[in-house]
Order: sequence, then structure tokens, then C-alpha cells
Amino acid sequence: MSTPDPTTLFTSIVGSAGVSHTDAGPLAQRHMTEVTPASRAECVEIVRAAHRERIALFVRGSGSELRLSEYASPAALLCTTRLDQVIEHAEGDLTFSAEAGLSLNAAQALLRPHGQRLALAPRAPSATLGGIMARAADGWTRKSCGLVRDQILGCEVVLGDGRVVHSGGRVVKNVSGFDLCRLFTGARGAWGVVLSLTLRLRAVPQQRRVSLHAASDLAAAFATAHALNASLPDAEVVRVRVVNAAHGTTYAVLLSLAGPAARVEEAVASADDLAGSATELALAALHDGGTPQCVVEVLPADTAAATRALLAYGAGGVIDADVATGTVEFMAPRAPEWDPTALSALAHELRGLEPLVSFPAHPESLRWQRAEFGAVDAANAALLRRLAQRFDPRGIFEPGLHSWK
Amino acid sequence: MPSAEFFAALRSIIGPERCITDPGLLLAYECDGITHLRTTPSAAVLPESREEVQALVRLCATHGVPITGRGAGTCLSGGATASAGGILVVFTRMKRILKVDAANRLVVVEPGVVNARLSETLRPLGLAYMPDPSSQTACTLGGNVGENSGGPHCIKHGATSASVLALEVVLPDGSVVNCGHARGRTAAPDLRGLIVGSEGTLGLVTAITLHLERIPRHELTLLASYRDMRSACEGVSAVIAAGILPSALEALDDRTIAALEASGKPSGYPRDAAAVLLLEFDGEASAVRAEAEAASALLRNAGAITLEEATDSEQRKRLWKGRKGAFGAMGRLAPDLYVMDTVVPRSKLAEVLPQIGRICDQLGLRLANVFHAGEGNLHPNISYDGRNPDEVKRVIEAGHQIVELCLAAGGVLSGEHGIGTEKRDYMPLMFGADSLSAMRDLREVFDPQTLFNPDKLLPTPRICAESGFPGKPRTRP
Ligand SMILES: Cc1cc2nc3c(=O)[nH]c(=O)nc-3n(C[C@H](O)[C@H](O)[C@H](O)COP(=O)(O)OP(=O)(O)OC[C@H]3O[C@@H](n4cnc5c(N)ncnc54)[C@H](O)[C@@H]3O)c2cc1C
Ligand SMILES: Cc1cc2nc3c(=O)[nH]c(=O)nc-3n(C[C@H](O)[C@H](O)[C@H](O)COP(=O)(O)OP(=O)(O)OC[C@H]3O[C@@H](n4cnc5c(N)ncnc54)[C@H](O)[C@@H]3O)c2cc1C
Repeated sequence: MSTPDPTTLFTSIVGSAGVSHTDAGPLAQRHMTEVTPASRAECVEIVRAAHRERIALFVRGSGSELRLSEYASPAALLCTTRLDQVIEHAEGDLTFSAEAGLSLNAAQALLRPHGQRLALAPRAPSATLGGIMARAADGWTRKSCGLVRDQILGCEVVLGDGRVVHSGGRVVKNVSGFDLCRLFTGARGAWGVVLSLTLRLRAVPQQRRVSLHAASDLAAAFATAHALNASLPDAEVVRVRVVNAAHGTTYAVLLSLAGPAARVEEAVASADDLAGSATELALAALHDGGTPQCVVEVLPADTAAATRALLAYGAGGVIDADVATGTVEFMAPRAPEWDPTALSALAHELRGLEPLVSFPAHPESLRWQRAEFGAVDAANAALLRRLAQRFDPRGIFEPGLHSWK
Repeated sequence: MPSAEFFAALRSIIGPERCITDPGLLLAYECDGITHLRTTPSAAVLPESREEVQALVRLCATHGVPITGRGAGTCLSGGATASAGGILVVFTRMKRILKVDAANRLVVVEPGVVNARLSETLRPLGLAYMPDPSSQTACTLGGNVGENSGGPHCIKHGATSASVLALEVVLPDGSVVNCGHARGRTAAPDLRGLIVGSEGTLGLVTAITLHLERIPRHELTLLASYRDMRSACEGVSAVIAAGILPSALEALDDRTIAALEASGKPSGYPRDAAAVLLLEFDGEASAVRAEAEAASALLRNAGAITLEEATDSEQRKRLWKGRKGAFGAMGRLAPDLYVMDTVVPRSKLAEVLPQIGRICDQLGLRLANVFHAGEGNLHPNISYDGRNPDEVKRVIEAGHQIVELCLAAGGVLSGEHGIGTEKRDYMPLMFGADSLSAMRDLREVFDPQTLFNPDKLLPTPRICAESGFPGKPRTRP
């Protein structure tokens, strides 16, 4: 019996309005059926049909990091953007449950009038909650509120074989059974589609000041940043920012202070004492420079060394080095040539730092993984593969995209 | 019972003095903090290195002998007891602090390090390991990882999982996997997070990398007392809903205060208080002050009859005295104490607590509540006499009704003590068939022979039929 055409198959589930083709838009060369379920139930049906008919599925949230380069046939793109319902905003409990396709921006807009927020801040402006979870897309809230994995209280996932699995709950503390929420955080779309999730909420801080303090050179900038990080333990963000423009390179410390008004005023005074006069910036300045060409994560004490490595590698743009978390982001207006020679040079510069290196602006980069960039080792990969065989026995999810698969 | 050949091999790996098989000595290993669930291990072995653990696991795999990892055995869900015919691998001799990296605020420890000992070691460096189970002077970090333990100060900084950066794990085939990384993030799905809280079923943890916080510069403790628990719970909900994040938010009820008075170690809490809340704030002085003032107003508004504040350590200790002594005092009320652990949404506390009281009253049981109110994490404590079979039956029934009540209120089975054998057969109340089968798959991926803590955590049809306490298998409606 021949495999039915994905378009026909999925139209029978979601109707013709939910099915289109990728060759219309930016993915013109990659012809693929694009299916957009309007409900979680439809999404489950799509996965079950794909499992039955062995159709490969690529999951897409807002598509900020779409990766389709090599795919098996038949294949389809499963878009979660219409899974955008709020399930429950338990205001008094500070928890928020929503479908995975809801965008972070929409969620924050909904929460703001209640003085609440999600402690998530990925650089991708349109990212969906499911995409943030699948990608473990940590951002500048990490120092003050923790990692993405620590924000997720519960989730609902449809596995590759069509089983619908729940983990966690809608309460803030829970050790009931295996913690699949954490397992699925950062798993991308390798085992299943996240249908919905419950997250912790925080109060919007009463006051915030984001400021830039100029420094004479790189060493001075790091010395100031480390001093600020030590003397202001409640600072929200402490970064060194290097801007490599045509007219020369500038060095500065980028600082965000947030909290009760009295505390922020006090901290502002001691920060300005320590770091010199400040230029105030909007919060959005934390995302200056757009999509990073490269992100290097190291132990906090190695932040300066990792920054130097990226500088030595060359190229212009902006480098933001977070001294509290050891995250160094490198933004450039034009993509550098990340050819094998360049990658080897980078690996050489970063030797000894045990870095985790990623290239968010390069969807193809998952296949550039190497041990020197923190790639999954053999023992972990073996377990992950065996899990994939159980959760997605026909391998329908994102074939060819995960180094460990 | 394993063969003589097995025991000989066991001794040759570990040496006779660290391999306990004497029935008299094994009595100490029959149960954990749940004294009702007893099994005698066929041996208790005390390895001193990862290599010894690997050799033990390989031997057990060859002979099909089940293994249960054990730290201090303070577990309150029956998870640290041996399985039939199985051995206990006791980690208390693997107690070295392998590395302290103050610059990156992390430590690497062996699993047998006692929680409080780590904090003592770190204090001179101005650093702290935040998760602080009430059992911290005894319990081990390996056990904390096994249960994803919480504690009074986990509301702000998170339970154990939030502090675990990386784990070295011996798998059931004797191989080793390193999960997570000291820098916090990895390229892989989070196996570290999966293993934390897996109750020794997926692997035996032989080294743990932990994230540390700086010791807060200022701490302020608030004690609010109330004429009734409902008002106290409303105080809790108001503080949480206002987005205030204390570093601790604990509650005690009148029955606990009475137990403290009866124990001859009075709490010093106001005499007419029927409920007491303890809040703590940490951080910079002005922030602590602002939060405490905002919280005080809300607590007063909810009907607090007294509000006491302390910032110096002696005074703070005095306010905490009742909370710290609570378990000991309850232990003196009757020969046995069943410390239950469930969670409800924080807005449901005022509704659920009186109902728990009614359940125990109707069954003629002595209840006292002391709990992590800020997280909705309840500990209904039932004092009883385990020698009285009828009373035991009623305790089991109360446990069951409380679990059903909390689940119906939108809660979960356990907040920090885990499932073990205690709540194993309740799992179908919370999880549907797909979720349970996925968890079984996951376990089989790690442990195809079901060698590690086999009869814990997940129900099997066979086990449901055999279990004694509390186990009434029912399924999710
Ligand atoms: C401007 C920009 C800057 C960025 N900077 C960074 C950075 O600095 N660091 C960093 O780590 N990332 C970065 N990224 C990546 C980005 O943060 C994440 O990709 C984003 O959070 C994903 O959200 P999304 O909805 O766009 O998901 P998509 O890009 O659509 O999908 C991302 C991945 O998640 C999977 N996925 C999405 N939704 C689901 C779901 N419901 N269930 C299962 N799997 C799903 C997809 O299969 C895919 O593998 C950046 C992206 C952009 C555009
Ligand atoms: C008075 C009292 C107060 C308590 N207060 C709290 C509290 O506030 N918060 C809280 O969360 N708990 C509390 N507990 C419960 C208990 O102390 C915790 O669960 C603790 O983490 C158990 O540590 P342990 O060393 O005793 O581990 P054990 O009881 O020996 O073992 C616990 C579990 O971990 C597994 N395990 C042990 N070591 C390893 C290892 N190396 N690798 C893999 N698995 C392993 C065991 O198999 C078992 O499943 C309390 C208990 C008592 C008696």
C-alpha cells in the first residue's frame, strides 16, 4: 500500500484552511506540506496519522530557528502557532498555563496589567512558549530568576507514537514521578510536540534601571563588572559590552538593577560610584545586535577569556559577556564565514574552557557539533537514542537534525 | 535470597568489614523514616569509591540481585528500603567534598556528604548551599538528589534540582554517565533533571556538582500569629498573590503548638495563637525592609493578632525554635508518626486544611500540621500507635482520603518526600495510562532488568496486589 500524500491526509484532520505549502514563503526551495492544527486534539491526531503513515514531522513554533535542511520524504512542517489559548492564569497562585504556540510577547502583554510576568527572555522576539521550552532558550532573566528549566511546572506532550503524556502539575513544588518536564526542556522537537505548559510567574519589579558605564579597555571593563557583581548580588544583569564599529572599539559595562524602588535607588548610587557615570538605556537594549552569530557559554570566572577568544577570532559587531552566568554572545551585522577552518580556529581559541558553543543564526549549525563545543557525549547519546526508540519508535520527528539520534 | 557464591563475590569486592550480613546488624537497615514499611536486606554494603559501586552493580546485574541506594535512610516514602532478596548500597562512607570552587560558586561532593556538613564547610567562605531539609543534620546530598528534596528555604531558591549542576551516575549495567555540566547548560535534553528525584531507580549517583549562593547579607524573620488557621492561610495567599517572595514561609497549627507545649519544650509562641506563620526575607537591607513591610501589612490585614520581627541571629533563632522542634515534639505524642506530604495550589490552603482536620477527626486520629505554606506543601502529621492494627488501618484510610482531597483541589501527590512505596499505588490517581506507560518505558531504557529499587515509584499490577501500606490501587477517573 502506498503512503498517502501528507496534504490529503492532514486536510482530512484539520480541513483545507489548516494546510498550506512551504514553497510560498521564505522556504521556497523546500517544498513541504505545512499543517497548522487549531487545537491540541487536532495536533495529537496529526502526530498519530504521521506515526501510522511514517511521515516525518518538523515542529515549528514562531519559526525563529527553523531547521529543515535535510529531510526524509514524505515530510511535513507542523506549526504550533494556532495552539495559542491561555488555559489558566491563576493570578493568586502565580502560575500560568497555556498552549505551546502562544507567543511570549502575547503572554507578557496579558500578564502585565496584573503586575505579573514570565521570567523568560530569549533574544528571539516572536518566540513561542513551546519553542522556548524545546530550545531551552535562556535569556537575561537567568541570573535573577533561574534557567528556563526551573520555570516550568508542568507540561503536556504528544509523543512520536501518539501517546499524550502529562508531567508535573499546576503547583510550584512537585516530586510525583519522573520529571519529564525537565527531560523535554531543551529536547527540541526530537521526541514529541509540547502541547501545553504551566509556568511560574513573578511580580513585575517595582523599578528598574538599565545603564551603560563606559570603560577604558577590556580589562578595566571586566574588573568593573566583576566588582559590581560582587557588591550588588541582587543585580539583574551584569555584562561587559564590546562594540566593534568602523570608528573604533568601545568597552562598557551594561547593568540592570531591578526590585523595590528604595533598593534600586540605593543600588544605582553605589553602582555609579563604582562604575562611573551612566547612560540610561531602555530594557530592549539588552537585546541589541539581534540574532547572535555565536554564543559561547563557560564558567563565570572564564568569561573574560571566552570574550578574548571571540575578539581574537575577529569580525565586527557587538559582544555581550555576562559575568554572572558566563554567557558570551557575539552579534554581527553580517554572518562570518563559519567554514571548517574558522570553526577549528574558534575551537582552538576556546581550548581549555570546556565551552558550550552554539550558532543561533545558523539553523544548519546543529551538524557542526563537536566535542570541543560541548556536543553530547557517547554515554548520554546512547541513553537519548534509546529514549527516542521508545517515545518515537518510527523516528518521525526531525530525522537528521539531532547529532545524538 | 542470593547464592553463597554471590555473597563471597560481594565480600571480595568490598571487604568483609564493609559488607553487613549479620541479622542483628541488619535491623538498623530494615526501614527508613516510614517505620511501617519494613524489609530485611540480604546485605548492606558500604562502598568508598565509584569503582566499588560499579563492581557491586555489575555483580548484582550478573546475579539478578536488586539494589537499593541509601544515604541516611531518613526518606519519608519508604524508598530507601531493600527490595525482596535485594541489597542496600549505603553511601555514608563516600563523604568527601571533592572540590570547592568559590570563584564559580560551585562544589563537587560525594553522595554521602551530610547536607548540614556542607553548609558548615562553606560558611567561612561566605557561601551557602540553599536547600535545607528539616532533616539536614542527618540526611545526605545523595538522598536529597534521590528525592529532589525541599526545605523551609526552598521557596525562593528552589528545591534540590535548581542547585544541581551535574551528576556522575552509575547505570544499572555498571557503566558511568555524566549528566549536566558545571556551567549549567548543555546541548542535550536534561538527563540531569530527570535523574534528580528519580528515587534511585535510574542510576546510583556517585558525584554531585552543586551551585552555591552567597550567604545573604541581611535576614529578617517575621512571626505572625492568628486565632484560626483559615486567617493564617489567607495571610499566606495574600503575600504570594502580591508577588512578594520571602526566603521562607512556614506554618504551624494549634495542634503542633500544643504538642510543643506538651513536650516540655515550649515554642514561646503567643498562648492564644491557633496558627503561626514564620516568614523570612533575605538580601540587601533596603530590599528586605521593603518586602517585610509590605508583607506585614498584608498579614495584619488577614487578621494577625501579633507580629514580631527579628533581624539579629539570636532573636531569629528564638522565633524559629518552635518550627525546628515541631517534629521532635510530635514524635513524643505517640510511638509512631506518619508525616504525609502533598501539595495544593496556594490559594486553596484555607479551603483544604480544615477538611484534612475533619478527615482525621472522623477517623479518631491525632493530627498536627506543620508545613511549607508558601509553596502550598502540606505535611499532615498523624501520631499513632503502630502496634494497634485498627489504628494503622485508620491512618491508611486518612492518608488515602487526604491524597484524594488534595488532588481534587488541583494538587499533586508529593512535594518533596517522593513516591517510594508509600504513594506508589496512588500514581494512577494522578497520571493516566499514557503517562504511566511512558514513565515505565523511561525506566526500562535505563534499567531493562529492573535492578535498581524495583518496587518503588511506579505501580505494577503484581505489586498493587501485594502491597500493604497504604496501597489501595485505584485509577484516575
Ligand atoms: C533574533 C534571535 C536571537 C536568538 N538568540 C538566541 C540565543 O542567544 N541563544 C539561544 O539559545 N537561542 C537563540 N535564538 C533561538 C531562539 O531563542 C529560540 O529558537 C526560540 O526561543 C524558539 O522559539 P520559536 O517559537 O521561534 O521556535 P522555533 O524556532 O520555531 O523552533 C525552535 C526549536 O524548537 C522546536 N519546537 C518549537 N515548538 C515546539 C513545540 N511546541 N514542541 C516541541 N518542539 C518545539 C522546534 O522543533 C525547533 O527545534 C535566537 C533566535 C532569534 C530569531
Ligand atoms: C525529621 C525529618 C524531617 C524531614 N524534613 C524534610 C524536609 O524538610 N524536606 C524534604 O524534602 N524531606 C524531608 N525529610 C525526608 C528526608 O530527610 C529526605 O528525603 C532526604 O533527602 C533523604 O536523605 P537520606 O540521605 O536520608 O536518603 P535516603 O532516605 O537514604 O534515600 C532517599 C532516596 O534516595 C535514594 N538514594 C540515596 N542515595 C542515593 C544515591 N547516591 N544515588 C541514587 N539514589 C540515592 C534512595 O534509594 C531513596 O530512594 C525529612 C525526614 C525526617 C525524618
